[in-house]
Amino acid sequence: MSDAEAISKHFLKSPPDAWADTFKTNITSLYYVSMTFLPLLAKGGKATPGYASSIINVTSISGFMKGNSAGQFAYATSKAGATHLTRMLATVFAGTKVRVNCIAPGIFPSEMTAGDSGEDNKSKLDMEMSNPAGKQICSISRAGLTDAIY
Amino acid sequence: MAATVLFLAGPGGVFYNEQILFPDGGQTLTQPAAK
Repeated sequence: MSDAEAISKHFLKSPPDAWADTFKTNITSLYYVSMTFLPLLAKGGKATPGYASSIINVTSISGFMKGNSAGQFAYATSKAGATHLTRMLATVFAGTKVRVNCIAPGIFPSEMTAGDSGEDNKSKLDMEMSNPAGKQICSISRAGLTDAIY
Repeated sequence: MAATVLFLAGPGGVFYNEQILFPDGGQTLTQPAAK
């Protein structure tokens, strides 16, 4: 089997329905929730001087990386879309006193990144720095911590 | 990540719009820009 055949066979295991579900969860839901709450958020933004309501979307570093993100093509693609949706909403909502920003976390322990979790529903990652360039500007050199998510 | 949310939702975040924040831990921090 050639490399191309192996890659093709492996990644065709991801059915179209799974792509659709991923996009519904990661992009479509952000759009409809944002649009639904816009009137209420705009009202809140105008109620307090010097304050603007805020939407914070959680996207992912996967949306910026060009590798296969551990085989998660749909996930990474949807997160890239969610990041751009954030930019679009921020632009469209600019006149309504509603801010829209997003957080694109790197690797944090979860069932998705660690593969499993303990009885306390927490996962563990013990990863060393994988990107040498990162060491030069970030001295932490480790994945994020579960406690830092909450 | 929680601290980033608090930052955006707090007084310091009032001036932020259309921004992307990367709480990362250093694993992949520069990779999107470097590749």
